Amino acid sequence: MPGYLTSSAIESCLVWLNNSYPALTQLIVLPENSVEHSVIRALRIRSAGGGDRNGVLLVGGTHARELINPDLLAGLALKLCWAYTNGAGLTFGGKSWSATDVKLAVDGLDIFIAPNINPDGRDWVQSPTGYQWWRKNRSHNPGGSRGTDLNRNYDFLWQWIIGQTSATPTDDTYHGTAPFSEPETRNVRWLLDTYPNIACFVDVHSYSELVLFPWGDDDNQSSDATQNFQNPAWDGLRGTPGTGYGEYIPAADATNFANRGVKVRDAIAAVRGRTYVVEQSFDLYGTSGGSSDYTYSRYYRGTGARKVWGYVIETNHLGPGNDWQYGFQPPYADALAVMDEIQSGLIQFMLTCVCVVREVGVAQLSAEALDELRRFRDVEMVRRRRGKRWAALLEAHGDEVLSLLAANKRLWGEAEAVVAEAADIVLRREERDAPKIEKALVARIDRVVTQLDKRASPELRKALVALRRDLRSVAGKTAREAIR
Amino acid sequence: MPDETPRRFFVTITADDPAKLREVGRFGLDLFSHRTEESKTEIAGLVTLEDVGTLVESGYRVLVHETDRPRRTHEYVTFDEWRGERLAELERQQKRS
Repeated sequence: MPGYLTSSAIESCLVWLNNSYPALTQLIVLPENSVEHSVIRALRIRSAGGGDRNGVLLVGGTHARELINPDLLAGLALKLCWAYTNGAGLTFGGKSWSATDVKLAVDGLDIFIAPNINPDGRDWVQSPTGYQWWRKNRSHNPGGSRGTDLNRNYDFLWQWIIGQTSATPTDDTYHGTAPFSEPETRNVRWLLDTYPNIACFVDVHSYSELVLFPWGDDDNQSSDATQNFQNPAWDGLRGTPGTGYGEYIPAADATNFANRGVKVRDAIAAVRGRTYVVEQSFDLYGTSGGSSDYTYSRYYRGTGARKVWGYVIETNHLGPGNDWQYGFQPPYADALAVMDEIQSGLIQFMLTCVCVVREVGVAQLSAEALDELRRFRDVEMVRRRRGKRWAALLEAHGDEVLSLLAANKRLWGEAEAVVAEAADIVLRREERDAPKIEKALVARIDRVVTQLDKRASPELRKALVALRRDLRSVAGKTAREAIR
Repeated sequence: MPDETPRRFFVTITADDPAKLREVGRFGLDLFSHRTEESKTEIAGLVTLEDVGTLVESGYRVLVHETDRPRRTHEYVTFDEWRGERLAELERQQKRS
């Protein structure tokens, strides 16, 4: 059984995928080379047509010694391209994803995969003269030591040295000389800036079998919005027990993070029975400058950035007899089993990021119309009681709704017609005589809901009951009146 | 061993109080949390003997397990070999289905 890919083999993989699947992939040369001058690339996977889809960014290799994850992401890219092109599904142990699932992901998303963002670190780990347990990149620090912990170098409370974070250059959790002082983290920021459609993010690490979501600086709380990372009144107090501080996260976001995490967990467990724990990052330990906190926090900085659902997955577990080395670098046969389960989890994650309305409406609605619908959701729906509930339903159950629709051509057609008609009402909401929702449309929506309900999971069924209750009172109302 | 990294050891760090265990992050060490078979959270780490001393002085229990000397030699694979295996597996799967 051969072993892990080298950084140059991972590069070869991305180039080969781009050459072999030119219509499906775009090779992205990240703007900055690594400290030791390696070119770093990402691959974008997307089928042709439709420029307004959500983006998913998957990042690996941040911590050099965690050898599994760059191979895992390169393998996922290959499997997605192969399956989409061959009209095939993908099987991972006990979990199968159908050809329709693969198609939904590739047609419905821009999938950005940056499998090895710290090639210098990986080279050092794999070099006979290097160090097998190296964690950081290979930058030159003041005082002569080497390396910054890239997952402490993002611009999220960077200056506050929270929890397992260090300002000492020789430490393994050294946060660098400034936020984004490292070319490797600047490359990730560049991807987020350059592709503002990225709405979902996973930074894949090892080990511990965890699915982690923000925040990482302190316990989450949803009752006091003034306790937030931007409020200087709390500077220096975050991450410390007994200060009364909790990092604010809207309750709906906390629920959404946890729900998506549970779906990923279940898709991982279905492969070979390993049950990952879904929890807030701070439950593991406090940090500042972390990637998932940074990606999620961008939305709150008033720059107009989209909300990014940012996660960290910690792959693999201790080996037999508390074998720590196994956690980071298991024999390759065992690593392949870990890759299978995480690839399954990541496909599930991607499907949760596909926008249902876009997928169902894309054949009939222009890009501008879809943009306007998105604006209606993000600006108006989320501020109104009913609208918020409907947006949450689509966010939480969109993947299941899409799968059910995709499995029934007739139902998909009915949903298309409903979306087109509802979109017209939304798009004309500012007209003097804004159109009203007719009883006939309500009846058609109800028919689609009835069909979905027949095959829905208990969770979706419960959400559909609430939707049906809302539908009873929307006839005769404009779009804005309906979401109140 | 790199010249700038002193010999380190894989350790398990425990404390009676979970809050104290969480605070262990403030030492800037290379830590990785995990759950034992009994679902108890421990903090593991890769630390120097000097770090072990600091932790013990601060009231933590530290169990030293093994040095960071590589136990196994890794073999690396060329991209062509790797690709061949992945594609062969996908084709096997396709035939089975």
